[in-house]
Amino acid sequence: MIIRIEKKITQILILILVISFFVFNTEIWPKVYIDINAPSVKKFPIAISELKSLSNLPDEKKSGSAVRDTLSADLDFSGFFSIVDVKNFPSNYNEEGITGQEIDFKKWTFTGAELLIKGAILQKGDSVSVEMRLFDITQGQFITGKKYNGKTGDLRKIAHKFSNEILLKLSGTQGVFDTKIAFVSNETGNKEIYLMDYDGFNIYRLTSNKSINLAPNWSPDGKKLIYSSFKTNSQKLYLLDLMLFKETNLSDRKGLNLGGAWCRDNNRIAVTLSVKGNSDIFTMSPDGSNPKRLTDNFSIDVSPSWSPDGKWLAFTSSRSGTPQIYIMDSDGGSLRRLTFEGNYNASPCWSPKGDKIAFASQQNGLFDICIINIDGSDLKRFTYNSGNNESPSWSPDGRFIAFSSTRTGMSKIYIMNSNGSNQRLVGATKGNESNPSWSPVINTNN
Amino acid sequence: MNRGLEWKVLIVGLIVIVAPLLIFSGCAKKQVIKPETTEGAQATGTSEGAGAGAKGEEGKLPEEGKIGEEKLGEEALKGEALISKIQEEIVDINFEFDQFVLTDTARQKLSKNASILSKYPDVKVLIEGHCDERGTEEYNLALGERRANAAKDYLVTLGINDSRLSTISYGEEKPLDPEHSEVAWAKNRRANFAIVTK
Repeated sequence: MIIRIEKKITQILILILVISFFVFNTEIWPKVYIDINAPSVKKFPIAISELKSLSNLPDEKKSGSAVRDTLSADLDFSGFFSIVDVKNFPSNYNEEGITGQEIDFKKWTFTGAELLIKGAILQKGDSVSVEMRLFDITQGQFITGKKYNGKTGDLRKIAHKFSNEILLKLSGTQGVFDTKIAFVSNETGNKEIYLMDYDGFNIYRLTSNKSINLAPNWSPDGKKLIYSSFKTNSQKLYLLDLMLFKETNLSDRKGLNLGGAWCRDNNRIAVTLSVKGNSDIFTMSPDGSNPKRLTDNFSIDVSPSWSPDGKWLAFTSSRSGTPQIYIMDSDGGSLRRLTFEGNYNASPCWSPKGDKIAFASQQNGLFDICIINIDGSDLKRFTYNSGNNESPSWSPDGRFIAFSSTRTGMSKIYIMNSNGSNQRLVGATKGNESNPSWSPVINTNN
Repeated sequence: MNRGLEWKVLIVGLIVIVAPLLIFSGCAKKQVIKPETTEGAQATGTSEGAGAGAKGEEGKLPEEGKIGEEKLGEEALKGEALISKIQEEIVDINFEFDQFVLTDTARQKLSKNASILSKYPDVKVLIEGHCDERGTEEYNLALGERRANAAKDYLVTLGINDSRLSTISYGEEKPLDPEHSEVAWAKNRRANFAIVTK
């Protein structure tokens, strides 16, 4: 008996030894600079050298600065980096070569930076070629490098792509720098659907039907958008293919056709339909067929949001007398109420990690963005005395929340960190903005 | 000389002031149609209903009278004129915050609407449900639908044929009063009745 236990213990010890060898041996395991799950992160000082202008023409230099500025804004936004300003350092810092052999890392240690980005740009007509490299200054080591070819209109995109590459290599997690936010703006006088980059640039209007268009929602691959529209004098759900720019009718059942939360795992779209005479939660196939009713209740049920594993749905229901958030499984079973504080809690959005739900909660007549654990614990309010704050939407990495706010009078799209800090305006249309929906990470393979 | 000129100025002045007043009051009497149909935001200002034809140049007053005579000469009202007449008589109903239950007042108004509709068995009605701006968009779309349905169901119990009534919810999208006040919100929580051609 005792021998047996000893045998077990030695087995466990050997296992621990083997695991620790892999974990602590940095030669085998790539170095993780950034722990994305750490509650508080140490900010990495990073220097971004000016891009070397290969043909030394003014336009090319300007493009180089544009790439550098976007890169700098991305990395600052991420919250993982502090940007070291190299403007005040001698000119040879920027003029030196861009490969590992050409860089004098000793010199760069004086800037206080631990990481360094070096790059070069070549511009011919409206074609650009940009190469970028990331180095570890303290170890004098190359971390990653990429070369991008594109048009002068792609400069921001190129910078976003390299920002993603940096975050991927340093943290092992996909960044959100080339994600987009779909939203509604009444800039033209009508509520139309728009797209913008996560940072508010590249605003593009998708619809122009001059009616009321609402609630854009992304397909899991980020290549299609579901939205509601009154453009035919009844309210229907449409699916817009962003690649082909082709639109199909997804649901034109009698009554409401709202929402459109498309789950990657089970390939079902959760919607609100009132075809049975009262708004209920349904799921349906991606072509709108095969509807399955999940709630059957006299009260109002709206706004379904999937858990990331596709096993659960959060939604808003007035079955207790006031709108509250509920959770049920994907068959409509195991129903439980999630929110109990306040008398108007709505618009749930399940976090990509699956542990939290963001929602809009009315306090003293105004809506605020709140967050709660899926077991109902740890309710937190993230906005205070700042107009109506509604429609929370998580970034695909779960580190940010987009929402709409009327804090300056007009309704605009804002972004905050997922702990509520650093709330900043990103919406830049001239109208009132609402319904932000953050895209998944879009893989475009280049 | 001077006196003569003064008189002329006075007469011309009077014409300038009085003539538009006369014409305007004429128009105002004709434009009794309140198009409280779908365009909440555009419901103010001059009407573009059937009376719009009266809006002409000052020298064309006789023609205006001719158009009016034609309409009055008809035995029964038809088309737009009929719609306008019913639309004028039929009234909106209002709701309490976050409620779709019909109040006593709302039921009284619906009874009145039902008696009007029963006089014109051929017209159909689109009942539009609306909410005030407080609340989330999706919830309000559902709430507006419940309000429209509540109105519809009550009209059916009052004997209006189900097939004449359809519903749509605009949620908080089409406020009657765009202000952000209790008074505006009370006006905006409504169901209105758009008469549609058969």
